[in-house]
Order: sequence, then structure tokens, then C-alpha cells
Amino acid sequence: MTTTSTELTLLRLSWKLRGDVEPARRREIRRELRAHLRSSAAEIGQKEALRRLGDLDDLAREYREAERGRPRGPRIGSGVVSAIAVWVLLIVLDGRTIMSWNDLESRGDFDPWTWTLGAPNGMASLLTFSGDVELGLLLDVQVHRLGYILLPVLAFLIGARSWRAIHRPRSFPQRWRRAAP
Amino acid sequence: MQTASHDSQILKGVLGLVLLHLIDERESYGYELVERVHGIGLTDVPDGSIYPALGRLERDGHVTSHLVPSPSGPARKYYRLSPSGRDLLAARGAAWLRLVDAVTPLLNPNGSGPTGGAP
Repeated sequence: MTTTSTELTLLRLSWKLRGDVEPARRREIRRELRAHLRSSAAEIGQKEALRRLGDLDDLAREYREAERGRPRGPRIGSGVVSAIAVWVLLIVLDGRTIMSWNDLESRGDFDPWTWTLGAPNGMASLLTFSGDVELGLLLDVQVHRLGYILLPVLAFLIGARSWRAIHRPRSFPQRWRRAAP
Repeated sequence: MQTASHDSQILKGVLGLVLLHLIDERESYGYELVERVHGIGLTDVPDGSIYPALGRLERDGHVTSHLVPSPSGPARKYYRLSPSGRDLLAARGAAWLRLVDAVTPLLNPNGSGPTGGAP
């Protein structure tokens, strides 16, 4: 039986662990303690089960110590949010003209510049920025098809901290101890 | 069974060793381990303390865990000793016995009193 006070206790513990323990691991901790409290409450009652769980500050401190150094996994949710944010930004920027080319050319002192992220004038272009040299203005942004694909993917990889998926060996001293006869 | 209160610092130090030994006896899930820890007389270990201690052993690769469906609720997370956990149990067990051998005669020179007497 899951009750409000059990959930409140678990949320309070989870709140105390924020910043030190990853959200996914905090959910796992809540799930494990919820199962424990359910079994314990069935035998001794919910109030006593919560009391026997111990002081929440002490428990949070023990968890923080125990979780320190635990390898952290990628954050898929953050990656998705980053990718969507970049994709929306690209849509907003694409074709955004600050001053029309015709207006500028009519001024007679038009000295354009363009800079392309990726290979210029090719299939591998991601973004092209155009402007005027004298005015120093950014006049136009064009997002290429490849940019719509690669830039959100890049944002996902960075936002998700994808490098955490690469397994890293544990500390050397521990490995040495294990290898010692 | 001795149920007198124990020094929390000593308990904290020895809890990992106790858990390694209990898991070595048989795979167990969290609540079962809490009951087994209380069952050997360490009744003043807060239930919650067992789980961070298990998390630490798991983080260091001394125990592994797997989920097993439970007939009476959500799946249970069973803990199993790894080879490095077995090595650690042997090393810590031997160190604990050496410590007890060294300290007990100091506290109990005549072989009587609290440490040598009835529970």
C-alpha cells in the first residue's frame, strides 16, 4: 500500500539528494525504498516502517557517500531537449532576413560577405551567414538540409553527455589490488 | 540473540562486511537483507542504512544485482556476490578477526565480563 506519507518521505529524500545523485539513480533509490516500505508496513505498520527507515538527513548523507564515484550514464532526456531546442532555433533562423538584398543593393555601396559552416557551396554545407562588410551587419542566415540533420544530432550528443556511455575502467589502485596475488 | 544497542560508528564500519557475508550465504533482496541483519542481533541498524551500503558495494563491483518478478508487488532487486566481493569478504573477514583477537584480551584480560560472558 503506497500512501501519501510514504511518497512524501521518498520525495523529501530525493530532494536532499538533488545535485549529488543523478535523476535516474534517484528514481531507482525511490523505487527500492518504496518496495521496502511496502513490505515493512505490511508487517509493522506504516508509521513504524517510516520510523525504522531512519533519519532522512543521515540517510541522505549515507547515500551521497555511497553514490560518490558511481559511473554516470548518458542523459537521454537532456539530449532530446537540446536537439529539439537547436532544431527550433534553426527553423527560426532559416531565411531570416534582417535587411532585404534589394534595399541594400540600391544603396550602391553594397559589399557582401558570406561564410559557410561546412563545405562552401556544396552538399556538405550546414549553415550560411551573409552580410555586408562595411556595415558589419549579419543580413541573412540560411540553414541547409544537412544542417537540419547534423546540428540537432550534435546537440543531442552534447546534451546527453554521450561520452558517459563509453566505459571507463575503475581507479587504478583498485585494479592493482585485484591483480595482486 | 544479543539486541543491546551498538556503537553506530562500529556498526557502520562492519555493515559492509556483514552484508557481504549474508549475500555470500545466499542471494537476497533489500528487505530480506534488512530482516537478516536484524536477525543476527543488529537490530539498531536503521532499515534505510542497508540500502546505501548495498549501493556502495554495487558501485565498487563487489555485488551485482538483477530484478526478479515478485508475486506480491513490484520486481525485487536481488544482490549476488561478485568474485571481487568474495575476495573482499575474505580480506575484510580476516582483518576483522585479527582486530578482535588483538582487542579482546585488552578489554577482557580474565576472559570474563561483558565480552566473554552471557549475552
